[in-house]
Amino acid sequence: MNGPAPRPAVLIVGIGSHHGDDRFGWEVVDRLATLGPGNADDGPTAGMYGAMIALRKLTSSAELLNHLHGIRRLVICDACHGLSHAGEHRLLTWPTDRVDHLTGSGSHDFSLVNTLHLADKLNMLPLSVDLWVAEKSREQVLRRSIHTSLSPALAKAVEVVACKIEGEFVHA
Amino acid sequence: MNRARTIRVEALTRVEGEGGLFIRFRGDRVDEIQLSIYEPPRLFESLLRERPLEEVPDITARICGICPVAYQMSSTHALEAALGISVSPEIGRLRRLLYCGEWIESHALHMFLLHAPDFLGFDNAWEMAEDYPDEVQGGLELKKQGNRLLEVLGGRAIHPINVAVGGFFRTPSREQITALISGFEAALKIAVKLTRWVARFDFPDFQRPYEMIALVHPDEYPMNAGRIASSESWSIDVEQFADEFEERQVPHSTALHAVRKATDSCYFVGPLARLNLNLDRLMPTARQVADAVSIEWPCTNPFQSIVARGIEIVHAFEEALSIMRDYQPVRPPRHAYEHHDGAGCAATEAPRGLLYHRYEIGADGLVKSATIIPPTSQNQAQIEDDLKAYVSQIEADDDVIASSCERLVRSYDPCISCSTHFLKVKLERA
Repeated sequence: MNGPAPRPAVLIVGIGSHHGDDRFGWEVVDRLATLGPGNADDGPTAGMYGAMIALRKLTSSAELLNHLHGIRRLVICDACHGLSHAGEHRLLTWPTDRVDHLTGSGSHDFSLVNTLHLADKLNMLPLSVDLWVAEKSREQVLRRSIHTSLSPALAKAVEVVACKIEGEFVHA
Repeated sequence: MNRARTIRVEALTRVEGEGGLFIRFRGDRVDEIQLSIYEPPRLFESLLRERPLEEVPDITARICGICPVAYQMSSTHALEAALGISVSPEIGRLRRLLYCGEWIESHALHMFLLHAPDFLGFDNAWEMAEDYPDEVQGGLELKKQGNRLLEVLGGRAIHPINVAVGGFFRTPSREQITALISGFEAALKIAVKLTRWVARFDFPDFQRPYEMIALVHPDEYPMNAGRIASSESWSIDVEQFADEFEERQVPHSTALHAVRKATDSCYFVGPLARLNLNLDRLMPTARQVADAVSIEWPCTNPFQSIVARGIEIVHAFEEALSIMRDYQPVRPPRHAYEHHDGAGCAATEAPRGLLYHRYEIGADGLVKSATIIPPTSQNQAQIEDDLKAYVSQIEADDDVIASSCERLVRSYDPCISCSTHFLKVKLERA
């Protein structure tokens, strides 16, 4: 008899859209999915070296609130504004690092930072939340153009960030 | 001498999209009010021209991340009217089920994350969550259930991909739908409790002589079908929309303002209008809640729209459950059709109100012209009219006036992205 699906211990989330550098979070998750079984849309992806790791691509940061139950470690990848140059990426830790200066749009003014504040207040966050952010290309932001691919700077950041996450979870 | 004074809210928060509010006083009199929407026009109607009609539901869904189903419903019904297709009652019920999911997630987001903080003295939802964790958790649970339904029936929660002209690309298995039932049963109870909770908020005493417009249908609470009716006791077929209503350009907004042609006046669309005109078509529990809250129907206080949204959430859970309990996969999931030229229109009830679409199509199946009139652009002139009346009765400093105006605007849950998009407030005194 099949029991309920085991809950993942680690949730790695990419937030973004199909458009240009906003793809950053999704691309990191897609890259990670190639390193293990399943794909990013299949929900929990079992067996990445013993850990129960779920990969998810979300369109809206508020959606994150639907996926936090039982998670012990959360890793979020998202494009942002507020760093110095396109492609610059950082690992921030919630709630110790300052993130309020990072801007990103969210539907109905409900950004990722707002979502994390709310989840924190409701005790929905795991003890450890890593936030990988990468600065969008200024050219894409100014033109508001509908690129379908990442700028070269962000494409490079995807590889580096995916590699670092993989290093932590897969080779640990 | 009457000194001029201006109040500007540069960025109205907790609404969807980007716009601003400008208020100019001359002495104590309100001289001018502008709900200025400055987002660039999105030009969807032009974008649709010469596209295959089958692409229209998914392209128009991109107008909004919160109410994509509304755009899919209005567009498919309008295109089906142009093609002369009548969908089966089973597909009709499944479309209502999909719309229930959207009403739930959209209303819950607005009520508990955006609007409720206004009545409890908080700047945002996470501050409110510290004092009202159960209520915010409850609101999130409602939203989650709405999203789950959209995922199962629409393929995904945001910008669903399963709606087709003629029906659906595929319909879920009975097991997939049945798996949602227990969550919906629990959520219905939460929705009743939370609607009673918001109904006890302290609302500003602000009644308006609105002309309210919504679909009405003899057999159901309006979503996808019905006549366009007014609180002034007239109604028209949807095909007569363009005879009765008109969109006009205003210099301060990239979104068009809709007015009634005959009277050159503004009108009100949205959950409060729907409820006032369709109270007797609510599902039983929703009707009980409407009767139990201390609001006299018809209600003309825009701030009490939050209660109307709660009642509609209760209705949506209740109706969704009734559809899900009897659900069988629809075979075939969509009607076949041949391309031919024609024109058709439809109006459905988006979470924020009446959403009208009209299309002309060619024999080659390409769109020749498209007209989309979203609820927020229909409410814009009414919002300005309300603000003028509301500001006149507030005696306070400019900051309080500005925040009070933002609250009034928020009670409409404007989706500026739909109308074209946001909001900022500026007050000017001279």
